[in-house]
Amino acid sequence: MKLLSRQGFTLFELMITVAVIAIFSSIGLRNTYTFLQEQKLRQASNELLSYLLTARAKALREANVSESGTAKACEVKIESSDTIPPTISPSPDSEVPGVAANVCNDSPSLPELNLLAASGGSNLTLTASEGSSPFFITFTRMGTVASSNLSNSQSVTLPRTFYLSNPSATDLQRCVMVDLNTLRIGWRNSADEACTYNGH
Amino acid sequence: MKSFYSTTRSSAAQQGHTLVELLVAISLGSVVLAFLGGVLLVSEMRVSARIQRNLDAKDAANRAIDLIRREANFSSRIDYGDGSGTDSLKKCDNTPLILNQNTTSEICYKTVAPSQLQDKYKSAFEGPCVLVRLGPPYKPNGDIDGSSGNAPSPLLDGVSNTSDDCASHDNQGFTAKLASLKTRTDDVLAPPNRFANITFNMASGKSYSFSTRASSNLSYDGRDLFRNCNKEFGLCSGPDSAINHYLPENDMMKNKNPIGSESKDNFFYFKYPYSNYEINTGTCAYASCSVTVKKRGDTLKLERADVLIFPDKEIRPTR
Repeated sequence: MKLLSRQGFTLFELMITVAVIAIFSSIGLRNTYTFLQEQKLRQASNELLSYLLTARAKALREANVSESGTAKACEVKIESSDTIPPTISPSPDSEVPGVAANVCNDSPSLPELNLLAASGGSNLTLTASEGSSPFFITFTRMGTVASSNLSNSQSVTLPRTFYLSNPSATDLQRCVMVDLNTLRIGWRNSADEACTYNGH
Repeated sequence: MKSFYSTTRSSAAQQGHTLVELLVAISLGSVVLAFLGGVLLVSEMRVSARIQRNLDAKDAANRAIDLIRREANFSSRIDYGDGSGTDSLKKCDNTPLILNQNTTSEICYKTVAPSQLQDKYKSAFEGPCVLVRLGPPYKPNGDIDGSSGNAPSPLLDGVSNTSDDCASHDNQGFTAKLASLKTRTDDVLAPPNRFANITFNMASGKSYSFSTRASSNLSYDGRDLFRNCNKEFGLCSGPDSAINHYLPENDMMKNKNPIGSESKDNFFYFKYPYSNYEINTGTCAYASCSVTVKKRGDTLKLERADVLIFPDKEIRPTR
């Protein structure tokens, strides 16, 4: 009877194979990790954008001007700090002075949205081109962004850009630009810190 | 004992491929597959990126159209800029379209080259031309903040450039054709211009056309049609001396018999869309025209009415 060959691989061959696999998979894993980070940032910024679009639609839809001239607006508050993950919610009604009402709070009120949870990430920071948290954005009955806030009457310089990033990989940043009638979303170039937007 | 293998086939037939052959075949196969997959993936990514870009561009165009429409609806008139002036980013001149919000505020739309935009916008717009709104900002209650100066807000990127300078008056990337109600007295296009047919021609080859209308009441302040009016179908003051604008207050219709001026054009405004009223167009004449409010049955008789203006329609009684 002819015996089958029982010759196996040498330890050296195995080690080479394992090393090659390790090198390739580390490259792959790194790319996968970056891709996942990108996806989470993309998700967070899309959530922010769609929240703002909803607020804008609410302002347009529900805020009818009355003949006495009192009008409504939809104002949202964006908060972010070391202890609070980026959160967007209708700004509190109590802060709104009498003349105009915040229809973001009208039933059905816009729910509070935790961008970190919504993106599925473990860490997320939000900064803005100017000002400090909390940021207020007021959409008027015309669908435009007001030049001052409903809550605190502070003036707002437009455009206002929000940057979303993961603190452990800050070279990857998402931009959400809020202008008079324009909401744009794009990536921030880490070299010159300028944002490139979709829709060109 | 007989070998298990040799019972079925001869030992020569069992000779398979060597490991090396197999590895070479697998690697060749995977190179081919990876190449094909890569090509497919890249083309798929390109297609989806192009679709997304088109969607975003369409979205931006729709938002710009919405804003122009709304701002026109809240304006007293629509006009052209006179083409004079030099500071293209501050003044409403050299522009195809101006909306008068009230006696003090003007909003205009024009195209400029991206290089003319403020630094904070430059990196976000590519051109060749950018549609810009020049006008005062909005207060939280939705009113125009007339106390603030005109600020440029870019609205739409990628507008085509058919003239050397995007800001040129005859740039075909953004055009507006205006029309007004004609007056009886001289049958010419009298101010105010009420209608505008607007077209954006994009560098991508797409074009968007839409029409909009403004209130033709010159005393309209962007919010109150009844400003400066006697609210019982009284005469409203306005800067135009050739036309009388008559504005009804909703609940004051009953048993009114407003009579227009003989020497002027008489424009009668109605608050609700045409479908809310009943008018026998056969018997509605300049001398006398009856209008009934459907819900309440109130009827009013207009005399010397040149035009009945509803938010969605105009009627010219026969003469």
